[in-house]
Amino acid sequence: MTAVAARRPLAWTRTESPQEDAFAGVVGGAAILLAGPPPAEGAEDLDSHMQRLGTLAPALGNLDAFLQAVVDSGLQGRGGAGFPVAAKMAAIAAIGRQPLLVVNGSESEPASRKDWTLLCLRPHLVLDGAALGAAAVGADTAVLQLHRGSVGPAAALRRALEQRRVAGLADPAFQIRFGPNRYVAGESSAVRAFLAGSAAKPSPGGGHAAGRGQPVLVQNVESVALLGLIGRHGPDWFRQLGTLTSPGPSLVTLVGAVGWPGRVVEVARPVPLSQLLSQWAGITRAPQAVLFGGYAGSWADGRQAWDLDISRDALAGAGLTFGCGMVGVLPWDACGLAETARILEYLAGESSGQCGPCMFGLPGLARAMTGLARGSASAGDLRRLARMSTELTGRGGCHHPDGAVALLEHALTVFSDDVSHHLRRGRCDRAQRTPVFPIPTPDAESSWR
Amino acid sequence: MTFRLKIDLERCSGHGICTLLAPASIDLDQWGFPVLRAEPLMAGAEARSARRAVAACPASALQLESVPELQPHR
Repeated sequence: MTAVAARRPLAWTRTESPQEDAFAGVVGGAAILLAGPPPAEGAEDLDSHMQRLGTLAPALGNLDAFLQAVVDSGLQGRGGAGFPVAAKMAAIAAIGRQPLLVVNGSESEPASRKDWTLLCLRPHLVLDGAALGAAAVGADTAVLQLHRGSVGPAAALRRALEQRRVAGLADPAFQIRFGPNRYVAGESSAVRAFLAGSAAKPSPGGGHAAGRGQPVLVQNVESVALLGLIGRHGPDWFRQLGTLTSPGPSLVTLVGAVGWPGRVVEVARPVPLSQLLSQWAGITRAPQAVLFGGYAGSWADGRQAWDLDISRDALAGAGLTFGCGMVGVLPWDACGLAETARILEYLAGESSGQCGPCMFGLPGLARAMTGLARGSASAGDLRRLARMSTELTGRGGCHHPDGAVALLEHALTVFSDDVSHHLRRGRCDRAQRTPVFPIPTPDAESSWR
Repeated sequence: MTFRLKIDLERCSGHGICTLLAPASIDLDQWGFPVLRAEPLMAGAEARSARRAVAACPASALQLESVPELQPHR
């Protein structure tokens, strides 16, 4: 598969057309999610998709076998937490009322583009998985949940749905819905709340089954696309990819100083970070640091991470987060403290304001970190920062504050030399550099509905 | 009977009455929101104070649950 190079703004939006801006590649084997026509051709149409992969009918005709295949595949959700998909499906089916399937394409991580890319380039792969998943849990409706402004994915889905209607495929009723452009609005309990007519804010526990009302099964776009492939090719085929405990391919988004930020790479089998970055980002020496998993993810020292395998298991083993698959490269001339401060300011602004410690604590945390990045912090401020982290951990109804604290704690460890430098001599020269990681501009209309 | 306090931080608006009525069980963090003591189980006088805190909470954000007696391992 070839990559398509094009202009690359620092802070991309999600409205660019896939023809110009979709990048995709594969490492560690052959692609299955991004196989097919080159990205420059845009969304694959139904004819090409069916010619390449064949009909879904056998799987739709034997749903028990399909459910068993999902169990045997060991598929873990690709939204971030890696929860087993089969367990979620079984929990929903056990309620005994007709559920709603939600294909979650919110992709709230500002720098992640894997779901966006999949929807723009392979809409039928996602819709096949949704049709099969919906049939398997007895849902007659599937919601395609996007963020407002997801113009490319919405257009690709609309065209794909029209092709399927004309072809007379046995699909559930598909609905495209647009949720608020907020960081936490893509979390599954927030999506459920949004679809029930409430504010798109997370709720504690966030269990898989709604208490009252219709049970709602929320699955990430990439997980859903994989369901369609497992239905066609079976669990043994799927397990040849990925790792023993985290089977199947995974999509990652390359971000930061990578040449083309926003490029999505399919990791068929885990390869070391060095191979991923040399092959698809032209980086041949370990960078200063790498931010894994998203903005509420974890920093790693670049040289320590250089030989690390890119897989959920290997990262977890190193105390790092795979999360949404973001791999963010911090170059040697950038300041990790300044980048962390910018991200923390963003995360603080994205608190849903439901729990006091998060609402007041995250801005405090971000302010203190900004002070440290600017070189105006004292040793006392650093102690206050540590105390805030401790008091914030586990104190939210959702994991938003935990994610921010984890990011901060990784930063203080990985950039410990910079911390002492900033405390002694003030801001470093590198903090003046153009920012590396894109921060979304706040939505003018900041509604939660 | 053994009890355990639960706080719903989405309801809590930081009045701080709970920590006055049940100081042995509840502290406040630096933002004025309640933090439960690390050892969650309580009984006797402490549980009675906790019950008063639950009743007095203006936001109905506190709950006192009874904890079933420990069962021997099967």
